[in-house]
Amino acid sequence: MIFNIALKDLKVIARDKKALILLLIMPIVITFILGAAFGSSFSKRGLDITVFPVAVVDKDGGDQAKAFIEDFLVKDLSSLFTTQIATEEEAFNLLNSEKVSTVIVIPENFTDNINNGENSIIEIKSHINQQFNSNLVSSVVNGYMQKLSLGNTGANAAIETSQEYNLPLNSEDGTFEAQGVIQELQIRFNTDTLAFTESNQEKNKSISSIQYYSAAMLIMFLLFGALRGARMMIEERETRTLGRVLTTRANIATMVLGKFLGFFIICTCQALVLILFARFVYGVYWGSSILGFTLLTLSTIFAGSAFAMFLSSISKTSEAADGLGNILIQVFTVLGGGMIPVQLLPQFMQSLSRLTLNWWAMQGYVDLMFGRDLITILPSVGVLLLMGVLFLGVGITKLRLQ
Amino acid sequence: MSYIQIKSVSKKYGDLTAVDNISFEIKEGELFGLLGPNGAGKSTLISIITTLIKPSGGQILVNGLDIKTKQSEVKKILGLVPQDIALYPTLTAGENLAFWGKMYGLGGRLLKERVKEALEIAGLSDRAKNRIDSFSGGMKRRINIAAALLHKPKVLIMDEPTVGIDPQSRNHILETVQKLNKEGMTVIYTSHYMEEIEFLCSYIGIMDHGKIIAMGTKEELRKLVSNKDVIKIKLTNENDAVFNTIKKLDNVDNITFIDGDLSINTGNADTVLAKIISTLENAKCKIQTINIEQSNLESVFLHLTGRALRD
Repeated sequence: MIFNIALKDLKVIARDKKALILLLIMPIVITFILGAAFGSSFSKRGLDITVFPVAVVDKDGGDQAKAFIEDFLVKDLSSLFTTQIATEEEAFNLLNSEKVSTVIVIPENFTDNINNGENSIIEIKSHINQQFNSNLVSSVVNGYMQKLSLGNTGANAAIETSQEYNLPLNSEDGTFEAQGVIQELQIRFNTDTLAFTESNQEKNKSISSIQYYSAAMLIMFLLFGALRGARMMIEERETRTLGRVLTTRANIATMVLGKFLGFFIICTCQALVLILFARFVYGVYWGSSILGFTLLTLSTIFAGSAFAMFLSSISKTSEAADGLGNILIQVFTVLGGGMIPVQLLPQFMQSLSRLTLNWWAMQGYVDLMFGRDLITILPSVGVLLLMGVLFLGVGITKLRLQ
Repeated sequence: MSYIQIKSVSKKYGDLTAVDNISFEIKEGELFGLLGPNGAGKSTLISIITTLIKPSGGQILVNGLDIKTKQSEVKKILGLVPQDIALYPTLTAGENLAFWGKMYGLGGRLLKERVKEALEIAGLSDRAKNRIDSFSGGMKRRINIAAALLHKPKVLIMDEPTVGIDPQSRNHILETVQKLNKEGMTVIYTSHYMEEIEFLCSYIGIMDHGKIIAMGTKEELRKLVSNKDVIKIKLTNENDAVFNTIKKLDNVDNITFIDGDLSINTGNADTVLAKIISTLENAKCKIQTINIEQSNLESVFLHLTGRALRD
């Protein structure tokens, strides 16, 4: 019965030519227009990874810490962020005032632990408003530490093997010593790490305007798709068709779930068309993580469908839902960076943008387009699901009361 | 034997009482008419019987099942034809009926058979593949009724099913209702069209301001205004002062004037007609036609409320 309601909605919308133009043709056209209009400005500043400041607290002071800061952070990653060395207190003051997005804390005994082949954990602290930059820092630091750990493992294996076969490890004998083995291997592995990180970042260092607006318009028009569903539901309420459904074997829960599933299926079909069109006609690169992309898109659709359910529960007429929905979707889109990147908005708007599902979805798509993995977009997915649950909860409660 | 029992049912919306402590019973196989002007509370009562809204008080039993506690069993027995066209305009007649059939739990071959039967009842078998939005008002109404018959309900509840349709479709609907009733289906038929209720129903309740103000067979109701005539005069102009004068004449019980039609309930038309005509002429009202009718449900309503059904 739930599927019957949902599939009927899909059939109804598929026969509505105006809806199809709004939901499929409009986003394709607007993406093209915005992509072309902002193309030049994007290549100058728009969505390149902009250099941002980070603070480093060195509690160790040893050679390994120095190598990590000077060779890795300051020198090799200068194109990603600027590094400022500070005391712990200074660093956290800078973080709280958002003068740096992230603080990297090198623990005490870092050098000794590394030299002895033991693990050591570098802490990453970030401001809640700077998740994007923080994820980037975490990603490169984790890469560095993993390779360092591999270096240690390799060196230890080399030493153990030498000892087993009584190979001399003393430099006085004209060979090399254990410490030297470790350092040599570490240098080699670290070089590989940098090469990997650099090439990976370089490959996806900027996204094109058509890529950006394909994601932005996908989110905006998914919300319009859901709004269309909400409007259909209210029209059915106005013509008492929804009431008639309740005189059949369906109860309120069946009806609400059927409508929600209908919204979800409509938006999923719409997303599929828009994503494939952008991929094969505009050549949009949606990222390398298919799982991450699918999860993010489904979370966005879930949140959008729940938003539609909420909207239909608070609107008395289809005209009211249309009016309110249009305003909210456009405000969400602007705040969420759907028209111009959020970084170009005034600070107070940037703070408000976190309240919109567009912003979280957009952050996720941008992360994926920069080549990041599933783990990076999990916060976005989580917030979108949470928003969906909240919208759905309020919507269902209000509908039950009605 | 009573199939539907309505016991002290009321429905309040804040200070407004839409249904006011109503009690009556409907026998199995009866064609029960609920007559009343718009806003009398008929649709609210229908919504309560069909479990769409909860009553503020009272109890309703359908075939001995309490609609509050045995909702799903009661739903299987009832079929509702709502006042609005509750169909999907962009779907075909066949697709609409298939959707509603599935909502009643039908599927597979049985669903196909029932859809075919319902289309035959509606007289629209040849239009199964046409979209509802290409249908006339009357055809939509017929499919609206057919959708309520798919699960073969024991009770068919029809809420103003002929509003705004052509005479041909109206006749088809009235004939269909009669046929279904003859086959044993209990029907509750609400309307503000007195002629339809008089034509169809064996037992009638007259409703006004949320209350049942009279109930009985046609004959029983007519007895309430026995020996009364209704003088209907069509005027080309109106004059409120003269209506007050007519109202004060001997043997005039009630008077209404709607859209140029003056209706006068009187105990004896012969004695009062001449006085009425001269009063109207003195007031320079132009008379187009005069008819003297026997009492009917309209005059019963007028007698009971002092208002016409269309007021």
